[in-house]
Amino acid sequence: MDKHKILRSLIAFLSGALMAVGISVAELTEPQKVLNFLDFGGGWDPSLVFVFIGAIAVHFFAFKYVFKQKKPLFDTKLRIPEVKNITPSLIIGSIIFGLGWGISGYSPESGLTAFVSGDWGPIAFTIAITVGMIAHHFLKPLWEKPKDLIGEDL
Amino acid sequence: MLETIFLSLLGGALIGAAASILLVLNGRVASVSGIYYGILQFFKGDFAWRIYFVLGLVFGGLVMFLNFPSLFEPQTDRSLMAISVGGILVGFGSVLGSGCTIGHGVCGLSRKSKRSLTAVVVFLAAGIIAANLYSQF
Repeated sequence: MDKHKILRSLIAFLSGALMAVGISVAELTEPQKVLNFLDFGGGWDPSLVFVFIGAIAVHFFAFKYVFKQKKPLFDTKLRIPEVKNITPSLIIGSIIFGLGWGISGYSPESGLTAFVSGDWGPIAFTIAITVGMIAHHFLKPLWEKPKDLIGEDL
Repeated sequence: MLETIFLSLLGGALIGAAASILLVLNGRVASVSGIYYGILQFFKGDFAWRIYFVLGLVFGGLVMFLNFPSLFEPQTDRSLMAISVGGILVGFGSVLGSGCTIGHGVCGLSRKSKRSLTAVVVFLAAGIIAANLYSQF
């Protein structure tokens, strides 16, 4: 029996909750903030850059630390994406992602954080990403062989 | 302006801290789209923590909304139609491209992944094109 399982669930919950706090403080819950960064026409807002600087400045050291330790504190091994090569899927997927991001102003984390406000924007967005992911699941046999069906490799 | 920069840096640092907790303690990458996709896929034996992470995200969002509702007031000119079409593209693209703004933009760049750097440059370019075109028409 894995003695840390409950602890890991609790940590996952806390990580999610803290991320939601960060997303709201950075105002990623406000799609216009993102759009004012992506759209150069009138009132350009560079603050999204600072969100990423803040996040990477902290997370970079976490990777440094955990790579040195070789394993996480409460699990037996690190589960970090191992794919290294730049594939057509990565490029095409990122183009599609970017188009959707620029049309809507939302990304998955902002939709999931903001839909509890009861506003239709993040609710519709969260339903829509679910539909998009399920669509990918059913369409992927068109371009992938079954053995390639792996979930998350960044 | 200075206040905005400070809040953006602070919000970013909190996002980084949240991702770091998950990485250092659980050994997991905090790619929100990947975690959410794993729930939809019912990954065997790899399911519970994803639910807890998303519940945490929703709980954190609720606490912040109840205390600071002004952060959640959407002042966007995008129609529900645009948001929904955008959402379908984001969902589909995040799975095909193996990551989202947090997954590639924060986690991937922090570990100096070439794939993530490529993804960020590409989705940033596509996002800029889409946002500018949208406001032109």
